Amino acid sequence: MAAEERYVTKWRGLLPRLVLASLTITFAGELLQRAVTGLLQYQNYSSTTFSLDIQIVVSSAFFPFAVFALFYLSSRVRIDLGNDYVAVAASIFLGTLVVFLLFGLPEAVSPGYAGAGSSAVDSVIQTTAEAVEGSIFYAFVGFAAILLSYRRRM
Amino acid sequence: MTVIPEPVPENDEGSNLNGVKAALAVGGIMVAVYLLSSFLQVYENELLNSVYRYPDEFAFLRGLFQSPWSTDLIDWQDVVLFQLVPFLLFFYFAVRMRISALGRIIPMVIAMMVVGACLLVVRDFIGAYQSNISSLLLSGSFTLHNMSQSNPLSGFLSSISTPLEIWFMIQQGVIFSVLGVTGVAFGSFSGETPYWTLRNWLESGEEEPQPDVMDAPQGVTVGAPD
Repeated sequence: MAAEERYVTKWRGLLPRLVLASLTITFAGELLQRAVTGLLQYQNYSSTTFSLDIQIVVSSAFFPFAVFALFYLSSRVRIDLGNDYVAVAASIFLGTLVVFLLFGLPEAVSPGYAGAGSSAVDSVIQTTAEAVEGSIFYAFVGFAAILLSYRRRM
Repeated sequence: MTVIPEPVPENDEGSNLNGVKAALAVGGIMVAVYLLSSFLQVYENELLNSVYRYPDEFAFLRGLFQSPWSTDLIDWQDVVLFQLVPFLLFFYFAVRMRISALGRIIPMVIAMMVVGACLLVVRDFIGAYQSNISSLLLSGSFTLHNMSQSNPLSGFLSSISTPLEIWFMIQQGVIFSVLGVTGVAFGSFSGETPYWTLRNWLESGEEEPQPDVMDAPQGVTVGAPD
């Protein structure tokens, strides 16, 4: 009983911490991507292929950091993953979705972003789908990191 | 009505190879899903506009899938077909094959990574023949007659041997493995298939919240007749 009491409760303790953690990590990753892209444009590197390569390198370097951060957080917070697995995945998903929508939606509704023949509604639908796709991917990665920490503790 | 799911024996973990078998089974099903996705893309992009010649014919379907809505739907379709479907399949197989997320998962993870990389190759292969598939669905002929086209197979072989494509294969393998591990963990922790999990969740939401068992008042002995 005493060991169970050390676990955080599902919604009051777990959800805000994981939402905040995933939000912060995703926000940092997005900022890093945009900073590198902006720096390349500032240096007049207009090659799309080169920019894509740089983005791949940046995201690859950021990926282990995000995994380690969630791994460390889950070992500090002491998550009872066997009972709270849905809350963990939902928290990471929500945190990343907020960031992706925050960055994506203003661009989607801005004039000039939508292609010829497609309205702002189409752009919003497309951007939302991309945000959900990215958030599900981040939720999988984050959940796997937390599962790794949980296995180690077990 | 209380629904009782099929019992899963406790402490009866499947063998270590069950995870590998599940990864291969999901990979086989996903090949069919990729083909289905290819057909749906042709349907959404070209078939509706070419088959329904008159504006009032199948007006409801044309309203649903007219361009450019069709291209927007493809993004949501990809979310369902390429993320939710394999996740639910791993969820299901974890329950049925009694795969534990806390047991030995290294062979399963390696198998998932290999399957994920192979699925990217399959996806590129289908993509190389997308024009032929479109021609098959629209005109009934797999070969393209009207345009001069380079051999899709040679283009596919040259594209998958580039360093960037190899990196994408590694990346796809990692993504597929974390997807699979998450699905297996959900199945392992819930102990019920996705269908029963959803059904129980819906029915528990419909039921009135039961009050907690109150402590017996002082002076009253529970269950003891006077």
